[in-house]
Amino acid sequence: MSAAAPSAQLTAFSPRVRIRRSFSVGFMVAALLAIAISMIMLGALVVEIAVDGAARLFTDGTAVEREARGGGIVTDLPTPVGMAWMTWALPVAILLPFIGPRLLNSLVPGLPRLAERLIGLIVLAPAAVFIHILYVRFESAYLIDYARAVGIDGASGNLLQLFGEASGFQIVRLLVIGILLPLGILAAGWFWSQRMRKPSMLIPAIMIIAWVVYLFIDPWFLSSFPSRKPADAGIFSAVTGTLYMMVITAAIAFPLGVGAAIYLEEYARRNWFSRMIQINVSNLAGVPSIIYGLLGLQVFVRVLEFERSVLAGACTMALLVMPIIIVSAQEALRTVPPSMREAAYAVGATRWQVIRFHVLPYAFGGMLTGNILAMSRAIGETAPLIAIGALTFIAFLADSPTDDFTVLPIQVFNWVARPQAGFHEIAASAIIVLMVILLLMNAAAIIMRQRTRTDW
Amino acid sequence: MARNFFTMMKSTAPSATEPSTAERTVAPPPPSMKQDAAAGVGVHLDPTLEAVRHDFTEEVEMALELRDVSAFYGSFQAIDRITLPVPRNRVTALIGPSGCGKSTLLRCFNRMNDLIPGARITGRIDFGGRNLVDPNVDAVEVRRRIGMVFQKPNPFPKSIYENVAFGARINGYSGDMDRLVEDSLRRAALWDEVKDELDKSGLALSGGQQQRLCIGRAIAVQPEIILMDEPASALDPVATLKIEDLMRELAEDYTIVVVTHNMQQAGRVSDYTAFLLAGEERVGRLVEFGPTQDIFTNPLDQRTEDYITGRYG
Amino acid sequence: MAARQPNEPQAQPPQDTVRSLLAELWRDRLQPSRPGSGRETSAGRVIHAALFLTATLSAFVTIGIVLVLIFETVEFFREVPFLDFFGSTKWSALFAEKQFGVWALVWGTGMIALIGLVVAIPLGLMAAVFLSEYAPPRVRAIVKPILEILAGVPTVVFGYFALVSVSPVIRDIFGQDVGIYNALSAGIVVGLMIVPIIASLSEDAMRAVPRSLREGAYALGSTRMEVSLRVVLPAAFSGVVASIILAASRAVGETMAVTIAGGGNPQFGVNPLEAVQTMTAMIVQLSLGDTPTTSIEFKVLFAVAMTLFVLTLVMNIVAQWVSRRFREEYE
Ligand SMILES: Nc1ncnc2c1ncn2[C@@H]1O[C@H](COP(=O)(O)OP(=O)(O)OP(=O)(O)O)[C@@H](O)[C@H]1O
Ligand SMILES: [Mg+2]
Repeated sequence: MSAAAPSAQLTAFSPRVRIRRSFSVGFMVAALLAIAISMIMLGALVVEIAVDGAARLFTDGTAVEREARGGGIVTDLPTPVGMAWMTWALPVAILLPFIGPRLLNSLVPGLPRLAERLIGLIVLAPAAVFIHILYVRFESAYLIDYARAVGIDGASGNLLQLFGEASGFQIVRLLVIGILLPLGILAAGWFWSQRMRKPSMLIPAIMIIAWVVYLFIDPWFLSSFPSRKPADAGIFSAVTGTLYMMVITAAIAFPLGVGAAIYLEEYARRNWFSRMIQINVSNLAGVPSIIYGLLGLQVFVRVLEFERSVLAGACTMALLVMPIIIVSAQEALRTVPPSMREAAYAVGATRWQVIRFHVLPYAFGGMLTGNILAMSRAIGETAPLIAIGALTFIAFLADSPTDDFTVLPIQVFNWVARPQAGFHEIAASAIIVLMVILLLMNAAAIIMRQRTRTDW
Repeated sequence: MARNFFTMMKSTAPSATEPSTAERTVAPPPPSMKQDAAAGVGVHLDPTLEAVRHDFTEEVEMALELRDVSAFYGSFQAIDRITLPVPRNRVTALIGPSGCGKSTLLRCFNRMNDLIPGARITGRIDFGGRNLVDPNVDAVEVRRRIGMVFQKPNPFPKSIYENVAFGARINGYSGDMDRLVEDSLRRAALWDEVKDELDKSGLALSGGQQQRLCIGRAIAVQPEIILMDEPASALDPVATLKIEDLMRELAEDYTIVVVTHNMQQAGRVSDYTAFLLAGEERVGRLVEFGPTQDIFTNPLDQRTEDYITGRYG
Repeated sequence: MAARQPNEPQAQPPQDTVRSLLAELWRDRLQPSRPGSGRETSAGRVIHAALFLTATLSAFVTIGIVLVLIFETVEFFREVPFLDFFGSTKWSALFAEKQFGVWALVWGTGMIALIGLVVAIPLGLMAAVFLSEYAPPRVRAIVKPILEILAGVPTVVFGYFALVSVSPVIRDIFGQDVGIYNALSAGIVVGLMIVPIIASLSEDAMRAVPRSLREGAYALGSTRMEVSLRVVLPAAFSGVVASIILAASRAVGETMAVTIAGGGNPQFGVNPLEAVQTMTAMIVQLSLGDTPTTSIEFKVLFAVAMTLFVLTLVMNIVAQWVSRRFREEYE
């Protein structure tokens, strides 16, 4: 290893840089391909489902089915009615929050903030009520038209009587949209008066999108119960069952999971017990979901005698998602700097006061995010509910937590497992609904994560 | 025989000749540019930049020649038109207050800045007749020939042997690997301490040993230039002394450029010193360059004197 | 933890009647920071105890799972000899002549998980390398959340995809006599399902490798590929292996996709184009029918679940052990 001239030293090295470089480029292309293939395959999945499912979701079924159904079905009713409604109601709904307070300001300049807000509400509220009344009128006109078209007896214009005949979805639609829309207007106006411009514009935007989508969706699929004929089958019981179960699951799992996280982060000493719990939690997260189903079957369905009810399903699901909630709540708690706690202790707060007033408010956003993610896991889980014996054919809505129920993924499984192509098609439609719910939840989680992220 | 750097640069203006020009000796300066060499008085060569350059007191080849090198991070300019020679087989120290662009400049020498998104270099760095800044020059090859040792020791999580052999392996070394490892570790003054446990993880060594391992790792690919960015700043005085001795020893065969915050260290190990300073806009500029002796005993710029005597950051 | 409690002399807490407890709670709310009350109040104690209970609940869940599984499994082995279960490869629980060779199910599970891993490891690792070493930050910021959302796609959806999209392609390639239910299509979608897990977790591990290591390798004249494969990947080895084991455990425990697409045919063959049945699919099949709880079919369900539970538990523990044992500690 003499200190010879550099050129002599170099002879032992082969000048392969160009080859190595092209290897490296090839490798990069391969890596790019790998991610492209993954994305394309997963994209194909989405496209496949969208194409398969769109037919049932956005029209009243395929041509074959329409024939099988015997032709005559009113399908185009929502559109003209909705259009007529939109032509005037939407512009008002969008513009009112913007012009309302401005109008006020120009009429009575120098109004104090509180008065401005109060008067804003006083002006907006009647407007909202007015819109609501108009909406109900149009909706009932549509219902009457519809009833005549399908020949419901006694549909002479009596709204209440008509409700008895109309499908649940229409009632839901009437209530939800008839109430949500005015509420949205109110909220948008309030945000505007609070100088929170972004939400005040977001709400009308969301309302427009929801309304446009709604115009094109065929209500029958969403508002019908399962049926032996693909064209008649709908996901009404599955969607309501899913929502029902989600609410109960969250109500059980969130307090329990957050409580455990608070204990582990804020109370537990670093001893064998807390270590054991911690390891246990991470192992529970890896237990196959169907095993939770068997646990639920034995404990909730048989020992506690909840039967195959919403409650049993929600309890099982709560146990399943609890590890996720615990871990994410722990992470949220860890983002609160110790200096914050010390400052609170330094002024003499008790431990619970420190947690309640100084730790939880800062960690709560992160905990909620974790909860949403846990719920989006629960919403897609099928196996544990099958294990506890959730039914696949439910032609009624659950009234109480002890009723039988079904959920979207089970409905999908049931339809996919059938040989007829028609059921596969509506399975895809149901998947679209499921995925849209999931996507909305994920989007909410992402937005919340960004909004609540605090840099210390 | 002393020569002025500026005249030298003129004589080596971009030529289309072969890389063998690297081994040329520099031509004597044209009479018109004759400087007050004997008096040792420097002159401002670039009126806009006002860098002071001492005359060289010895005849020496240049390993690298920088010409108007600027570096940018996105839209932020870190260093501004630095013109600087790096003498072959000498230790050149880069000194200056924190944030003045020493590391940036050093990383220009082996194109490490390519790895930072948005980083850009302009100007010319002449290395064996080729311009390192030229995007057509292969950065991988450049880094093979211009090695680097970092501030914090960063051995790979592999055995000591593999740490040293790694660079040689990827560069297609066909010789006796055991000998190369042994020689490199000997040169890095680490062999005696680790010769019985070459299979031990490089991370299991002490900080000073890790740094010598990193030097040995750099030597093993037999570079022409070794860049060191504050190689001893994370080490205790004894380990620091070892590294300094090592630098002096390595200077016999390699060109070394070292960034240091330690004035004594710069005085002890370097033959040449460049002083950089960032103005208010945080853009680093070369203030003074010359033999270390001259810079330390007879700084020509007030700012250099202030810095060396400790009146600056 | 103890340092957070100021050392106040223990004042006697008010005796805990419901009333004083409520008063205490109420006082807590009114006075966020009472000076000089560092002790734990009785309300604080109740809260402490309640939180403790919620934390122990997770332990009870584990105990519950183990007890539930053991109970019925023991019942099962009272009726069926141990060797008939673990010593046989023939499964026919629903026929008149019952055979309970669990290896047929383990084999089906393993085959599908293996196919899944063969698909997912190259794709997932390359995707991880791309995201961590090549992708510009903006691309990564888009692709990573998409991957994470894909990891949350319900598994029935993958089952649908296998049946409606993948199987027909496989039949186009291998001939129409291949059944619509086969191990290959189930395995492929299971692979797709775990690609995001491997990619995301491996990328995390690779990004945790300090920048200085990469720089050290570049400074020796490495190309990007050499840095990725010979420095970053080995340095992140423990995390990468752990991610693969976790993904494998997910593949083994995966239920709906393999139930829908794998076909219900417990068998011990090597042909991936034939229908198989996994342990999970068997459990679903037995759950779907109205099996009387005293029947042997009901009990064997728990024996199979026990096998599945132990298998995945071992895999998860190994993954944790690997990631702890072989993690390189950089400061
Ligand atoms: N990756 C980067 N992106 C953007 N700006 C950078 C980056 N690295 C360095 N800079 C900026 O460039 C300037 C010079 O930095 P440099 O690291 O070269 O200073 P230095 O002289 O080495 O300082 P020190 O002595 O503290 O190491 C500084 O203002 C720094 O903020
Ligand atoms: Mg530096």
